[in-house]
Amino acid sequence: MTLFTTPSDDELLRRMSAGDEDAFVTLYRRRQGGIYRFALQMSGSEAVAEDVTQEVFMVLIGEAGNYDPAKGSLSAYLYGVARNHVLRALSRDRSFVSIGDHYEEENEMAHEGLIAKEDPLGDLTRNEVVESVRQAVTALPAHYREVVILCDLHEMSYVEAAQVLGCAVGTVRSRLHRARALLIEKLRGSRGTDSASDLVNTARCFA
Amino acid sequence: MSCRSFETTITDLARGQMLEARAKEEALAHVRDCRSCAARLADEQSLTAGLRVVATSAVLNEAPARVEALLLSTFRQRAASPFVPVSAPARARITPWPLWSVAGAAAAAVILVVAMLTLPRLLTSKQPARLKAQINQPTPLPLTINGPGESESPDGPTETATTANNPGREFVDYPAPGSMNRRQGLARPASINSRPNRGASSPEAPDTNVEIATEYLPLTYGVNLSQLEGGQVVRVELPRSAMQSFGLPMNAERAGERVKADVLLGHDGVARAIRFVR
Repeated sequence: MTLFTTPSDDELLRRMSAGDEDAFVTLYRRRQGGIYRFALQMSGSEAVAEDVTQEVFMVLIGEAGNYDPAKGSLSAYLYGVARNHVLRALSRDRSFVSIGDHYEEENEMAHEGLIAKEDPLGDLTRNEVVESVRQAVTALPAHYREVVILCDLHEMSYVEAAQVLGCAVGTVRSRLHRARALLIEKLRGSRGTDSASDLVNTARCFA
Repeated sequence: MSCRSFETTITDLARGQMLEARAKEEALAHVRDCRSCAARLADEQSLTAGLRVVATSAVLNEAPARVEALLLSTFRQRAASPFVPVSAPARARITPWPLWSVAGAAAAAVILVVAMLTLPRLLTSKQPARLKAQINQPTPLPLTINGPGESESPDGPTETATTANNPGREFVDYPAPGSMNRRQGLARPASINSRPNRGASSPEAPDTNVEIATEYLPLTYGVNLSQLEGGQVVRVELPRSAMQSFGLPMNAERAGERVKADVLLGHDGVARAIRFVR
């Protein structure tokens, strides 16, 4: 009786480095979808997502030795490389997404006023939900957008996201908290909820 | 649990993350007592549901097959010759310039800058090497370059030719390098690089008749002033606007005035270079 086990990423990488083409193909097919979606969700551009995916695996082919298993998983390493390329592409051409950097720290506490009068997504159909949420995510500042994409869309743990972003777990938690508050605010804003009354309610709540 | 404490757990609670049992119980108890926080939690849960819908809808998005084909081709090349640098030949890459070309361009830029900085010095130190040699002649070289009545040399011009039909011009011989002779008393072209005319004033007196000249500016492309075998320097007057054509600054209010210039002529009579004198 033969046991079939799925080889780990590290095992595939080791075999790939030794010239095993099947190992490379397996590893690529296992990880390319996540990398491509991450780049697409970050940039809003299929061309950028394609370029980034290509670059990430080029790095893997040419510089696999740069990966250090002690610092995190291979998946986190690939996401980290993808993130660097995406940010470079975004800084090169800011037309890919409308980055709402004006939506910044001066509004840091505004999320405390997010008291729901109604479900911000309740009246939307599925397609409308997808589109409105996707647009709201795309409009977030990059450092908030990436934590939402990693943690909520790619279901990474805080630890994995911290490895990808190269920051502390606490930073990931606080950014995610803030990013989600901004998203709710955006989604409610697009539906015309009166935020002033919300602030009054917040004051009562926190009193 | 206060509303502020609830705020620290709401994200994990709404996302269904693992929470300590006690913290979760306290948060849920708070929601039952606080309508605002209950509504806030409802918002967060609604957002979580929306984000899951987006994640589900995107799960089929993948890189096009051509990316895999390209990478596979690169992998095979790499496996065949491991020392071949990995490069992406297909689509426009994130880094459009290879590292070596960037380094090459940087080196070329450095060489260009060094050349631009040193060339003018070489020109002034070589070309007027002959001129400077003349300047170092003990014989004063008092050209009447400042026009009638402005002659500054008590000894009179050593060698000056003022043509009859060009009263404003003075010709000065410009010897070939090998023909330099201290006793020849060859005239020099006025002052070189802001050096004052000798004999213009006594050491004690303030020197008010100091000529300031620009570098010699080539008039023909590719001319190497240091290679000239000899020639003449001709003092002329030009419209001040002529300075502009050599890239020199000009006061527009004085555009109608004239400015003195030394034109360096080769033996063939062709003007090779010019400098402006003030």
